[in-house]
Amino acid sequence: MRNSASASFESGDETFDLNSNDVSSPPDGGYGWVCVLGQFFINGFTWGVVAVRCQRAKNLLN
Amino acid sequence: MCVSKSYSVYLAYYLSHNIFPEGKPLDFAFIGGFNFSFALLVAPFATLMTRLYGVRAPMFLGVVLLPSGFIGASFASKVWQLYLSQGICVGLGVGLIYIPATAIIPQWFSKKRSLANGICSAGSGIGGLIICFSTQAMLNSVGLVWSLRITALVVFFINLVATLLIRSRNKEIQPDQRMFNFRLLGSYQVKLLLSWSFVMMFGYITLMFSLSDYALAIGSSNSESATVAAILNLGAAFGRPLIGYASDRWGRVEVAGILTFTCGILVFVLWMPTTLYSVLLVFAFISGAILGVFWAVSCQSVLHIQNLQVTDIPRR
Repeated sequence: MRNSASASFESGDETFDLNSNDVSSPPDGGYGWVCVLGQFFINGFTWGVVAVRCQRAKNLLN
Repeated sequence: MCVSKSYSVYLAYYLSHNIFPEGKPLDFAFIGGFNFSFALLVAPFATLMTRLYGVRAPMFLGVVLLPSGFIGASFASKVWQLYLSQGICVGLGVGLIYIPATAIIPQWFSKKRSLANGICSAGSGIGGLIICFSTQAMLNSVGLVWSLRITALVVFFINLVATLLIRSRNKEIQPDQRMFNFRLLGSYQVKLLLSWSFVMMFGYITLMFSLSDYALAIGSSNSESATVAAILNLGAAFGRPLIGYASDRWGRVEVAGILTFTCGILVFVLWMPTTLYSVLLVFAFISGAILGVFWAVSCQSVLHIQNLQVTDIPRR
């Protein structure tokens, strides 16, 4: 992440700290890649199944 | 994301075989639209379920609902039954699986987040291509009813396995899971990001939905214009991981800005002057790759406003 050095901004009365480097910082790999594989299939077999492309339908209608 | 065509394969079949005589073409278009709208409308509910029962609870519900919609559609004999099954039920299923899952990747990745998101979003293009061609083949060999049921079975097992593979780090990071965090809307950065997404969508939708029509307009055949849509998908599948990698390396705002600008230029110098099918294919591939920038870069920020630790949101 570039210039995350002193990144924080305020909104209302909350301050959002953009570089929390406690236990919660992501491991950037490891089991994460398995999650990527899972999400890849989820995208493919949810949106891939339903997504509407009206091309053929339009051809029929016209 | 919108270019894959499984539903429109069914749509064409419903219309050409007059399966639902009382159904008007507009009905079938609405049913497809319901997939999208219900998938997104269910977002607050999916987030609520995630908070109460963990990330897999809404996903399992979706894993059951999505194939149920297809099974239901295979028994449908009236158009309103199709609205409920292949429209609403499938849409809810998609939303319940997809929305909780999107919040997972950013919990695992920070520096390589765009790359990870890019690879994930390439899935929708590839899945769309596979499902589209296999649906067409099944309709020709086993007919409508069984191709709906086989689709349901395949979709059920793949999503079940994928859901079991995914693990959240909610225990480690205890994210903010308010359904909407309205305070975020007050921040300047979030407003800018949302405006960018809004404007970007004009270009995205226009390109996605008119490129293959343009192919017809310059005299290509139906199958050639379908190829343009497929090449657009293919470009997205290749482009998204690459854009993700570039964004992690050179900054997300920089890469998104340069790429969308390039795409704008290409529209004027490549798409508009050309009446050649081959040039159109080149343009489809490049723009397909570039358009992925929206999903690779912005989604991670926009979608996770709902479901991510607040300290993690406005990554550039």
